[in-house]
Amino acid sequence: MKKVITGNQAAAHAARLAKPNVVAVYPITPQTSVSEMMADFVAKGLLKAQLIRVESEHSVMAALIGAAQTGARTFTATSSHGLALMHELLHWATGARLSIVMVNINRAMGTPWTIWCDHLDSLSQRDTGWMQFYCESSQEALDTVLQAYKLAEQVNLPAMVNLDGFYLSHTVEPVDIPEQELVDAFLPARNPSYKLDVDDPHSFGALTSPEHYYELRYKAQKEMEQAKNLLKQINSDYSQIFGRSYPAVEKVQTEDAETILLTIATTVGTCRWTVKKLRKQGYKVGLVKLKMFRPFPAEDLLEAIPEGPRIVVLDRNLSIGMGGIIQQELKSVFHSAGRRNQIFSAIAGLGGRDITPVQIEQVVNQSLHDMYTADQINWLGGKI
Amino acid sequence: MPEVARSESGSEWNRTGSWSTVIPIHQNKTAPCQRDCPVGVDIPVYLDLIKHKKYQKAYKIVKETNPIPAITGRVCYHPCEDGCNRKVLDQPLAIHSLERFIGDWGLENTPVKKIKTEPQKGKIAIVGSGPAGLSCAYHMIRKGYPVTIFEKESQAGGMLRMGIPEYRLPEKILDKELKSILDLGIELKLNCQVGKDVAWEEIKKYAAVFLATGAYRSRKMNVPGENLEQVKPALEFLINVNLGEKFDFTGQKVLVLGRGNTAIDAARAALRCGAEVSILSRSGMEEMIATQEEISLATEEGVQIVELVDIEAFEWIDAEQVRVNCVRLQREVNKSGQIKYAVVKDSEFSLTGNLVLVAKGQDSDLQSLPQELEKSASLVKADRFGRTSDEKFYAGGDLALATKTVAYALGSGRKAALAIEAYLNKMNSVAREESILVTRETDLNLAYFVKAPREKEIHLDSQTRRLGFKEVNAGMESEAILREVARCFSCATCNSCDNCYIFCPDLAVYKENHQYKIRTEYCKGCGICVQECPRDAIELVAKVGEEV
Amino acid sequence: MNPSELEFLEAPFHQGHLACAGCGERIGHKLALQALGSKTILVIPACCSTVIDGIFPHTASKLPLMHTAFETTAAAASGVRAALVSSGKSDVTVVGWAGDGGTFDIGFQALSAAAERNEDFIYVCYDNEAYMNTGIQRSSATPYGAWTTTTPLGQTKDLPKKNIVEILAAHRIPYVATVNPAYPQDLMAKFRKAKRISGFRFIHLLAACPTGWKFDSDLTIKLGRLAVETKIFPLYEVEDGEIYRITYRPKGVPVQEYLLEQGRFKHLRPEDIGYIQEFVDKSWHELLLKEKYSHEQEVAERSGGK
Repeated sequence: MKKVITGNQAAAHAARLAKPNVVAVYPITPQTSVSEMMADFVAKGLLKAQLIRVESEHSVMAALIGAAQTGARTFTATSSHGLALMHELLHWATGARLSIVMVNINRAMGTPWTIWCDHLDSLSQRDTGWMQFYCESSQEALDTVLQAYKLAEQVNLPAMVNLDGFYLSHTVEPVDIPEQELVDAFLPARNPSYKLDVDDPHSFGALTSPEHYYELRYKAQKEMEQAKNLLKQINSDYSQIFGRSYPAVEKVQTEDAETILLTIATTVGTCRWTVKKLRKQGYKVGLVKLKMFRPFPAEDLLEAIPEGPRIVVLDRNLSIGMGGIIQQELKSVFHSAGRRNQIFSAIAGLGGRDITPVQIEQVVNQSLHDMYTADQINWLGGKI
Repeated sequence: MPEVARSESGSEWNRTGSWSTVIPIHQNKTAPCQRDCPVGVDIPVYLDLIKHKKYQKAYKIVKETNPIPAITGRVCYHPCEDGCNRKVLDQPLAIHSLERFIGDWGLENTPVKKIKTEPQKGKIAIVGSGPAGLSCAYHMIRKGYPVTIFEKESQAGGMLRMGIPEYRLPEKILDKELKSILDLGIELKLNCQVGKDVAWEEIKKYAAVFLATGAYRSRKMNVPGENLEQVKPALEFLINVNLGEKFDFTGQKVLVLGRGNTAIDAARAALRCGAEVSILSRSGMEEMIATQEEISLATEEGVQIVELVDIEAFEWIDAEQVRVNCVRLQREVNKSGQIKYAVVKDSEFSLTGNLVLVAKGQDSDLQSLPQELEKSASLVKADRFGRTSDEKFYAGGDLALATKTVAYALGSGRKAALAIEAYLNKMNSVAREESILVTRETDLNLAYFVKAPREKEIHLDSQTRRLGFKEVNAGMESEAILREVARCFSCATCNSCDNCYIFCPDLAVYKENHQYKIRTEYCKGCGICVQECPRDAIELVAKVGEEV
Repeated sequence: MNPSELEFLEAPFHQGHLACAGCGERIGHKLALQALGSKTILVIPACCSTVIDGIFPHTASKLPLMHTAFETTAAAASGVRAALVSSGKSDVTVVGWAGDGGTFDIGFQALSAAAERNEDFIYVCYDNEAYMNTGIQRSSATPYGAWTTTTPLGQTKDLPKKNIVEILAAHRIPYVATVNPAYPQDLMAKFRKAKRISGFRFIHLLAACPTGWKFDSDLTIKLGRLAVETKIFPLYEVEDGEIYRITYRPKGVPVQEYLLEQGRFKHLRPEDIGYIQEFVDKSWHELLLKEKYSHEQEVAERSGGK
């Protein structure tokens, strides 16, 4: 059923349809309404779940780990500092191989306090072993949450679905909310092989010596690599049932492009519009949307981007001391593959500053006219 | 390997016993009561059985060493009670009351089965049917040897019958106990004095001979006037009383000289015959050999006890009266803490009495024994197992021991039986028995015991007592028995309290067939089990060699 | 009772665990599990018990055991319970088994929140009065005057022990109790009682530690007993934050007898001991008053109300 709803509402509906057994909630702007809606669903009997109203995000993740370890399907939402507070437990959930699904509404990190959109919060968790997806639209957010459950439960690794704060979380758009029966057909109940069970007692997460730790990590890596293929299958299944699918990497007019923009989340939407405009003006510009950030889809990226064009990566994040995180990951993949494409880095939209078509046109121009080099940071939209 | 760090197996592979250089062992040691009991009764074990109302089993334990508990419970001077560790908490256990209780119960409830002896093992001759002879006979027949007792008198019992009065040991009880022993199949020849009615040559034909003829010769004081007819041996008087002779001492004054139980018994007997009685003791009251109970019973009845008196001479007054010339003594403690008595200068005084009974101890008649046996002073020379200079002859009781008590006599008979068995089986040594480790009060964990007063026995009131020879002590009533036995610490003897099992952090203590065992492969040697054992029944010992 | 349950009660965990010789936590754990039975899930944060359980792929535990991060016991246990409820498994006991560090300090927030939410599990704090697992550093459970590596001689702890029982009682949870392995019947009775109650239950277990308190390993139970007999560690329970019940009345022993047997208190001067004695006497007196008052209230309610 199509409804005009916000991104938070879309995420909450997706979580409801996934039928988690245990939901832990803690508020933080701009995620709060997701938690409130979960509470509302439970109160109205629309969702049969145990709702734990914990006292901090750290306890949110601890509670979900406990629940997932006992066999439950789990859900929560957070942002920024809430996510950062969970940091040690994000590692813990991965090591425990628990398929927790969490929605993260991207928000910049303090200090100073800020509530506006920026991707550093989730990207700075890239080493914790969580799968990460970024959404361009509220529809995509809803669909991605459902796919994330299926994927996470197949590979036994946790997944984070990211939505831009305010751009998606608080703006409305028409979203098709699927019927429960269709979702049930797509996503059966969670049934992990490892769980706390008085009829089959084991100890989980005990002290592990150098003898065994290495291989446990190796196994997690292998499973996550598998996720790349599994996502393709899941997308195909999803498409069959719901008529929508989202590849890990989407290419737009890249075949003959001289300049390819590469970015994530809502900036992709702005880029689509700008590419159309620039093409009309005769520029051979293309776009690559990176949907899945972890596992990093190296093969798909190498396939989407031909040998020649320069790539302009728009990072809505800044790893101080290095630069943009996505451009860094891309460069490492392309270098390992022996590719000679020039990769330009632009930092834009930090702390929720809008990334506008004017800025995008500007950076395309600048890269075209060698106004800066690939080893420089283009502080796009910055008042420097 | 699993996908996650999920356990695959338990930790039992980790033999943490290797951390420890010591292991605990459950080892029953010796309780002080056991150590001090001359008979060797396993006191903590039988008391624990009484606690659980397992009277048959308790009786069996006592009877393993002591054939006459109903008697000893009444007459023994109970050195066990002096050693009892309970005194560190409140008062020592009234062990004798519990022994009497179980002895009486056993006589009522335990039928005696005749033992089928094996004559080819060898026939045993016992000379004398007092406690020593009875004990040896009892233990030998239980080992399967046919036994014959030769008793000079017309009744068996020795000093039990002769020397201990009715009000302390009713004849009924004595006869019941005797029957329970003799019914095992022991042959008893009364009115049969060896050396007179039967020759020593006949006795020497037996495989082994145990001599237990006792000591009935009252010692002389070697004081002027000792031979006056008003001055008689106390034992002689007692024997006559015990054999049924009636005396009437109404209005008469009887002086008893002595400081042991014979003096007390003679005094109380004379009292019951109507006399006004005084005991003159050389020792101070606390050092009298008689037990404090006997002393207080006597004084309650009206016996006067004069302490620290030495006798210088007896003087004839007339046919009915005699003067006793006395001198006072005083206590002196020498450098080694020993108490000595010195004459107080110019303290002479006299007392008048109608009859003087002398109770200064007894010696044995050694003349009637085979001459070749070595003697020592007034005893047959025998080691602690009763072995004499002749390998076939054994001696015990008052005949061989300086300490002349029923308990020592019983113990000597039992030990001689062990020695006789060793001799007849050509073994080199006699079985060693108890552990030499004795539990002291500092070895106990008193946190597990609650104070409780010692229960009292029921005595006839002192007025009624004087009127006749009814048994004075009725023992403890049944509820009191259970309360009293519950006070036993069970020193050195595991009684399955479970403390070691409850408190072991390593699950290294377990129970198998009602016994505790240690899983030494896991025990880390912390020692908590040893510390928390209330009764010193476990000990930590060093591991030897490869023991893990 | 089925034979495997009987087997479990005989030995509620495997031998070969890594506890120090004489460990008070193990004695407490054994007795607690014997009272709770095998339909129990354990949640254990970083603490001595973590290491005692042993190294992957082995475990000393015979129960399902979830190791969790240091400060998360109460939150993780809440999650476990939520999952059990959602799958209809209502007869499983959930137990958080945490040290004093993970309870009084770093885990305090999650503990207080779970108590406030009246989460349905038993939280057991086995208290060895310092961060023992990392080598004897002070915690807010370390008593006044004690030596630890972070309160060394010259700077020994000059603050009193946090009263965790009263803090939990103030949360008005259904049941709080103190237990001590030296009093096994009292301990097991309280665990059995806790098992039958729903909602948040907190049990404070004094775990004497030979390694950290510096005493010979055979004195664990003796010192546990002295802690109670000196009234330093009273045995009591509080229901609904209101009804106080002292479950054992010691005759009273001078605190000195308990303190000077431990190396961590050997340096105390007579005035320190006097100060501690005063504090203990005052606390005991207050406890008696609380018990008396709550008893009077109970009686008044019963006769007046119904």
